[in-house]
Amino acid sequence: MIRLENISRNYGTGEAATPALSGLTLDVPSGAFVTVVGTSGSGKTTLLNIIGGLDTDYSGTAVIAGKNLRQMSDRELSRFRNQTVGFVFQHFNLLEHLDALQNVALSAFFSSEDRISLERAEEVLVRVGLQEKLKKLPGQLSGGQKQRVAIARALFSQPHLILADEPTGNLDTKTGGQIISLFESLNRDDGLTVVAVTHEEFLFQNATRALHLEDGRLASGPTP
Amino acid sequence: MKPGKLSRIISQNLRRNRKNLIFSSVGLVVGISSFFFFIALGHGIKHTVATEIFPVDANRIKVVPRTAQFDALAGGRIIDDEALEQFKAINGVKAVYPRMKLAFLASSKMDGRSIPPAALSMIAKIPGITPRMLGAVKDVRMWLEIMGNGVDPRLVQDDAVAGRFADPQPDQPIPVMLSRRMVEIYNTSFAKARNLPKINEMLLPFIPPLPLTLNHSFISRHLTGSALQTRMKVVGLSHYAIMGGITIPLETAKKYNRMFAGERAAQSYDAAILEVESSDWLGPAQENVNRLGFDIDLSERRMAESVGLIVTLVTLGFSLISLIIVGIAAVNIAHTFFMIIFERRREIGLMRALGASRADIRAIILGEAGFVGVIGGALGMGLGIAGCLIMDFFVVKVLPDFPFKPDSFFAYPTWLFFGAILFAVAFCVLGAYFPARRAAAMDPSAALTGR
Repeated sequence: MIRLENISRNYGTGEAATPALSGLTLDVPSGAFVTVVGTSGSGKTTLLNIIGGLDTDYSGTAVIAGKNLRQMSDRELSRFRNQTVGFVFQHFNLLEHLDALQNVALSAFFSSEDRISLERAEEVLVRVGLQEKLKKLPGQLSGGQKQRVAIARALFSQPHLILADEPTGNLDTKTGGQIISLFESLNRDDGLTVVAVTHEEFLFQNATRALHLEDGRLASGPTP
Repeated sequence: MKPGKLSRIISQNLRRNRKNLIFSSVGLVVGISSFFFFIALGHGIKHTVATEIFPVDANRIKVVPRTAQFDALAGGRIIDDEALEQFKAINGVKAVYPRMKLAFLASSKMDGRSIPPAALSMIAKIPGITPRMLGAVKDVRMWLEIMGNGVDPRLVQDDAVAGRFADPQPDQPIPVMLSRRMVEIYNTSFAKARNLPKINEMLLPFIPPLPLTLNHSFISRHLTGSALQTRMKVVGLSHYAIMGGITIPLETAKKYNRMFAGERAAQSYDAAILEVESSDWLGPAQENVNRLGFDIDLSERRMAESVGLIVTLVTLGFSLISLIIVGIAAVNIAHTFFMIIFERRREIGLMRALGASRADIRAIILGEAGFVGVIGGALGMGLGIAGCLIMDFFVVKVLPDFPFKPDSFFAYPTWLFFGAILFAVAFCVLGAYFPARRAAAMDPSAALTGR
């Protein structure tokens, strides 16, 4: 599913250049549940952005779901993000003026389908346990519920890959646990490949693999 | 992005930012309204000039004998029947309308007391005629020196509304056309000051025949032959009538010229109007006329063009000011969109993460600007029309009459309605272009993390 070869990414140029990733090589099979662990600034989010096609300013080769991202045009890359990848963010990134259903269906605006299917949005909201909150605005939801809406939004276009950037970072331990269970269920029951970035490895005990990043490099090999 | 989805997302965004956008589009509304106002005013004035003050027929030219001294010494040609035949033979010439000056003096002595009571009672029934006006008509005492010319009746046939414009039977009054310009000046100054009724096409049928004395003058004492007492009946108002006198049928003019000034005066014309098939033939026809030894009288056309040019320049000047206002509004709109994009940074990043391409982001921002342009343009146009109507009300209804005062100072060409909206949209889109480019070029990963 994910094949990265010698990926390097610097922020800034010249003497001010700061390496975020340095020669990272990685292979993640389809259906895996991978956690990326590391301290702040270790390159976790950068790695996720490159895998998701959000960051294209890197060297090396990134092949995701059989597609070499570097060879794709902006339009193709956008379609890739729309159809292949689902993003979940630490700060939820819900639009405050849209209700849960509309937030979930947001990616439909950028799909090639003719209509925006609110039925599909409802279906995924039910899947994440929010059948009672369809018409609620983000301001009317708790942190955990917001993150569930964000997960439903990631699931809306039936992607193969879920990229979660600190999905429990803004939640209490109990709610975080529920969200992690949800990811595990998506991986186990729906066969989705999940890559989750976290500060705390112990939260994702059922992950099939944990990657430790230090200063943009893998600090240890794959763990079972 | 599909157009339906694009319009939905644009309308959602506009609803959210309506306060900012309304505030920033005030300048746009003002600019477009003043643009609409000045263009409509310019067109209205040009219309009045072209139809009332200096009416120019695009397919007609006026041929006159050559006036340069050299040509006169060299035996410059007069316009006679032979010349008229040559004009008719010119390629592209559809019709030739000769015009002849009256080569004798004439006068008219009008006395309101001689108007038959039946005619007065008919005039009294016309709407707008007051008893005071009727009294003024009865008190009229005028001694006029009459100048005149004769024109081909075909030239003015559409203007004859109160009788036939043709050489009359011996016992009938001579049909007369008056200049519209002269009547306009009479109506707005002479008649008003003396409380006389305004002359218009509705009044003409009720004006009784007026006395006319041919070969007579109140001033010149050197006339030969006896005077001829006759009558004249005003049958219409025409732009082709002589400005300070009367215009009669050509055959009548010939008859009386022959009677009082001799055969030569009855066979030479002072001008001929040439009508060509289309304006494309104007140039070649003019060349042929010159080759035959005649001149084209372009004085009226040049006057109309000069006035038209002045009005166009003034209109352009004011329109430019309006466009500068709209331009400043576009800068304001650009500023607003930069602000909106800064506020929506994360949202743009999110949209990119969810599959929006750079083109999609650009289309959303430019679409929002375009919609603001349509609404701003429509509001500006509405305000402009309101301004026109208010000015029309005050100037036409409140200001006293003056010569050539039109019913409306404004004319609204169809393109102006589309143009106003198009300008507004174009300036808004122009204003939002750089913000849209910046938004589209935004690094989505940086936008999402707030970097």
